[in-house]
Amino acid sequence: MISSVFVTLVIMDVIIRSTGMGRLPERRPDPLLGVRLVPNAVYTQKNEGFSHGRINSLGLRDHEIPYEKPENSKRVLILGDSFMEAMQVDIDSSFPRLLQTFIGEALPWHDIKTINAGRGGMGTAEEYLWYVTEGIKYSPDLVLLAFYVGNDFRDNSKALTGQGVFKPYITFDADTFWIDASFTESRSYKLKTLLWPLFSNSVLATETARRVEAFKIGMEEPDTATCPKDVGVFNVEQDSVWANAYAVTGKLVAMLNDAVKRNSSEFCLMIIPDSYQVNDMESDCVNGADLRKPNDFLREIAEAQGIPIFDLTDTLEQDYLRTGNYTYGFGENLGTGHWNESGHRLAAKNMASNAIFVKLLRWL
Amino acid sequence: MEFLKDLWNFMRQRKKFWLLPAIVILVLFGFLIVFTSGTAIAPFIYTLF
Repeated sequence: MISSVFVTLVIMDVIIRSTGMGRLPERRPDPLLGVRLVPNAVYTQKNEGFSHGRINSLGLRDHEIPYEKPENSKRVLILGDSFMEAMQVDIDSSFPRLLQTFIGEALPWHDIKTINAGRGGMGTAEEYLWYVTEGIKYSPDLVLLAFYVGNDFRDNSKALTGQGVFKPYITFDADTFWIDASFTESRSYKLKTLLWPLFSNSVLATETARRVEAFKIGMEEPDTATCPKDVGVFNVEQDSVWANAYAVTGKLVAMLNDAVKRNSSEFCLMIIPDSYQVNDMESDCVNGADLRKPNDFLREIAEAQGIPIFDLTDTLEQDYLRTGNYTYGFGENLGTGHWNESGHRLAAKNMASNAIFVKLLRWL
Repeated sequence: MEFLKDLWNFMRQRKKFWLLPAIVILVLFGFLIVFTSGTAIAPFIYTLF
């Protein structure tokens, strides 16, 4: 009987694997970052846009890049979340890759390479932790923090993100900070870590877990007619939870800037606007809201710290108003979600033609 | 229903009970595929797998 169960499971695993009905996980639980991309894992994104490829051998959604920097070469390390990971588009249509191409055209005599360290769901705390443990190994000359207004403030707040997410938080108290890694104590984290050897080898186990997880989320998801709670970032009057998310974000950006400067690198901040700020300003969800509040806050932080800041909001908004083309979303969901190919191209083109950014690159 | 009865009788008469786990597993996975096939996760929800 037991051997019958075992043989059935093995045969099903082989069938699912060989027919392409499932794939091994491309993310794994991690005690420091909560989640990490699995080196060399094959991914296929179908939920929003489409892409198929392989995570590189150092766990980045990028082409192979060794830690050692070639002589006479400069590196721009891009920290960010799902907008930089850009699973919705082909890797060569993503912002980091296009930025490298456009920089090459703007500065043909400079050998400048971009490194994409973006991962979906990352907040500034994880970006800081990844930079100090992993990012410095690449010896970047410039670190570009791509900050998505739509959910990065929320991602820095435990109260807003809620329980059940594998995510560390950084909490500040006077002049000290500590890392809250309480997610490692959760039953779900312990179970998934314990079963990782099974998931990392069995497509059947992974596909079952993937489908059960998606089904559970589908059952819990709020009615699409209601406004997402993330729009709270635009509220004119902030409650204490959002005010704290703003304050923590400011401190995290300053802390990341200090860490980068300590490693003799340059640091800059790029604001990725939310689609509400670009093409959905008339939505009832943001009626009476201050759509530039997060941008103004980040600008204040950057100016106080002497951080060069590049805000893509006007560029994307003006492009939408001029052409009517959406730079966010795919298929039936145009206008919302992540950047599509046009969004990545427009953002990369804009950055590479920004006189201040080009000057910053020239000085590296 | 008739089919299930026939299947059970077949397993009982031929003493092929080792088929039972295989059938149960296939049925369970079939249900999983059917019930989760239309599930699409919203853009800003990140799952581990």
